[in-house]
Amino acid sequence: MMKLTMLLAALVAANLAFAADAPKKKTDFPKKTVVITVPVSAGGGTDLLTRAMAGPLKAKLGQTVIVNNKTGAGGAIGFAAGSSEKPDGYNVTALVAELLTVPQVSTVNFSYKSFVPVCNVNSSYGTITVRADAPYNTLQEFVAYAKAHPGEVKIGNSGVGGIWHFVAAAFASEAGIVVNHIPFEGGGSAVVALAGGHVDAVPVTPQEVEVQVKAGKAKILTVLAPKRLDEIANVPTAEELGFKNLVFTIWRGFGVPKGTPDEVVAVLRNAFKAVLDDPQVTEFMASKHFAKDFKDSKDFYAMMEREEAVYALQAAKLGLKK
Amino acid sequence: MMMDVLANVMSWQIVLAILCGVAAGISIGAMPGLTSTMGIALLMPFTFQLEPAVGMMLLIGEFVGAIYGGSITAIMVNTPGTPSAAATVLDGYPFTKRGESCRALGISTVASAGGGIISGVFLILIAPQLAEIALKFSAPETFALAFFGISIIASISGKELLKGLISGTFGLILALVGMDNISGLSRFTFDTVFLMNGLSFIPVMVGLFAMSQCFVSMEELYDEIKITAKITSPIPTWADLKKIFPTILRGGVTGTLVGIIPGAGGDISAFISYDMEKRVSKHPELFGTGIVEGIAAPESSNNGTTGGALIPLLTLGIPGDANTAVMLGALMVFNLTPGPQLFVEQALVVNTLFAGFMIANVVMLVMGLSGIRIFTKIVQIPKPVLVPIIILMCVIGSFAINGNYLDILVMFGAGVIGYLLLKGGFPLSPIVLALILGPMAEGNLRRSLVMSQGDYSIFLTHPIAATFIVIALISLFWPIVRHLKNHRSTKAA
Repeated sequence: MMKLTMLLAALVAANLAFAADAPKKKTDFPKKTVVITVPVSAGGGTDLLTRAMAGPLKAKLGQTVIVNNKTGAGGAIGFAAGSSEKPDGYNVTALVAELLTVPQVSTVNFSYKSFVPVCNVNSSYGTITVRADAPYNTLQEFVAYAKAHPGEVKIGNSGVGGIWHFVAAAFASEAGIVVNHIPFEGGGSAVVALAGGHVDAVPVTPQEVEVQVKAGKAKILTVLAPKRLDEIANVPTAEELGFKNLVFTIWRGFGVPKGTPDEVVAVLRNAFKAVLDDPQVTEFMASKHFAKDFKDSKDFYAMMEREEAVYALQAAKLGLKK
Repeated sequence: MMMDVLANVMSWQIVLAILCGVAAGISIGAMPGLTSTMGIALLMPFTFQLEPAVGMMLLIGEFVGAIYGGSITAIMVNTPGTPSAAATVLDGYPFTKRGESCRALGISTVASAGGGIISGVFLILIAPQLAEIALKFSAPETFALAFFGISIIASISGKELLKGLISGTFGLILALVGMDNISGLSRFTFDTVFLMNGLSFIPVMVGLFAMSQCFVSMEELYDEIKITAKITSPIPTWADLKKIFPTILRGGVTGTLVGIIPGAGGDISAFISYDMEKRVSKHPELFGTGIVEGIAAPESSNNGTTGGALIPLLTLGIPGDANTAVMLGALMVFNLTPGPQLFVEQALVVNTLFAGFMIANVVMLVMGLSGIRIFTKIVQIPKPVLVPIIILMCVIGSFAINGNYLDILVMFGAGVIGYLLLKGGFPLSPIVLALILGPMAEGNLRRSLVMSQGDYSIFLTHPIAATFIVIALISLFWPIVRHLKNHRSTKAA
């Protein structure tokens, strides 16, 4: 009898709990491990940020969060894999600017439209970083050097059709120089090559070259940002130096395959938003100079739509169009 | 400083982290399919709540333990527990077949600890100087190293050179599957995303070695061939130790150097050391039949890469292999920005890690030696019980690597192919070596040519690259030249 009363009480309580939420469409997501596919190699900026967020995200969602690097082909392998996963919310893909650039230059079965954007979490900007022992100390001197040595200057990028390939190509065409683009598997490998003296410049973010700049192996000539960056306020922007069209946003966000239910996306978005305010993540992002830039699904999609058009134009202009 | 480091390392947190890390590592390494890299990624989230030195020691302990743990499965059940132990199978399993698994495990444990400690000495004494090697390796050098590595197929093919070459070529062809890394072209993917990243290496390796062995075992499931393990002292005899001492030295140094090179880890170095040992040996024909050097070389070498890979990681922020690439993430989370300034600003942490690395190797030695009697019980399990357990482990391991059930099918497929190849007398190790080195060779060949704008002379103008290519060519053509010479001299006589 006692048991029955308790069971009834529990049922009533459960009903009440349901009733409280009634207006919203309910979801019991997540019930199992969430896998975040990172399309770039371990140790790069996107990978570090995702891994730093994974811990608090686990606490938020109450389920294990696994970060899985699926690298290669400038991110195409990870995007293709991520976009064709089951649209149930358990397969999250870290989206980066390459999502817009890769489809411009190679035949792939995905585009930014293959994903439902969850949210954008960070935006950063490129640099022109050269070796510390290089004979040039300013962007103008570098350009002059490249003009005197046409085709000899090697700029490392994170893969053919990767964002850094576009940035480097746009820089070269804006500066009127001919350079040799060397594809690597991720920005991290390109920076290693710069430190080793195998390439002359990399266009990657300040975070990615930070270790080598501090170690005295590299120097940043300019930032490709709308205004100077707080962490390296002594480095001029490209615009200050007379290069007007060299601002590219290196955004990082998360998406799920098209068809994922809205209420599931909402759970993920709220979790990511809360994680962005987590003290551990805040500290990590501040110390690594990852600028927080939260955009919800709608704003995120609008940004991708806008930038996609820019890259399509660039691809045609730079002769990279497939 | 010395006392501070000692006090730090002997704190219960660090000691506990080392013990847990090494124990977890040995277990993870011994499970076919679970790799040390995966173990580090799994443990990493737990470390974020810990002190930086404690967290890093847990990861380093796991790294050290897992690279060793792979050899246990290699010796006992003819299946490398991790790719790093793929070369250990060659001479390890013959010992078990002879009933000498105790002796083989003892050798592997001592060699692993020896290799690890040698690399630790380099790490502590001359890390900054050695780290420069990592910077010297660019696309042409890495291609040349891979090219040289592929030439080792000749030396691990056993008596059947032609069949070994066929196996190797088969492996290289399998390595072509997937999107190519330079231009993003899909090859043999049949428009499936599953194959875009190529065939997953772990399921193929587990299938080729473990599953095929299970099929063979099924044939003789109820046969009364009993392998009895002689229970001997797990501590190697003085005679064995004397024999493997120079091998361990060479293996440890080779492992350290290969570990430093970005993108090359324990799997490659183990094969290189095995090959090298066979070349300097007075009795190269005995390799593959179960001799102590054949275990000591790969095992000292793959553990040598542990210290080696940490060298560029800590001094330059450049990971020396896949394990340290994951550790770079952990360092950043701990706010330990690697580089020369780390040694100044965080000298205590760095020195604690150095001391901890050495202790981890000693812990591994003690745990390994005391566990040997338990490990050897595996062969006493009757086959009708053991075979299903191994199959289950193969399935779990293949699934765990990417969480994709299709990988299980790949594993079974590789198992069937491996079984047929075994029946046909084809060696399996060349396939694994080719799968490891094929993508490395291809990607870096094409990257080099982009760098040189199509000029092949880039491989000659880079001294390191040229050296590796010349060594590879000599080792390939020397047997033919020698054969011709002998032929001519016998004709003349």
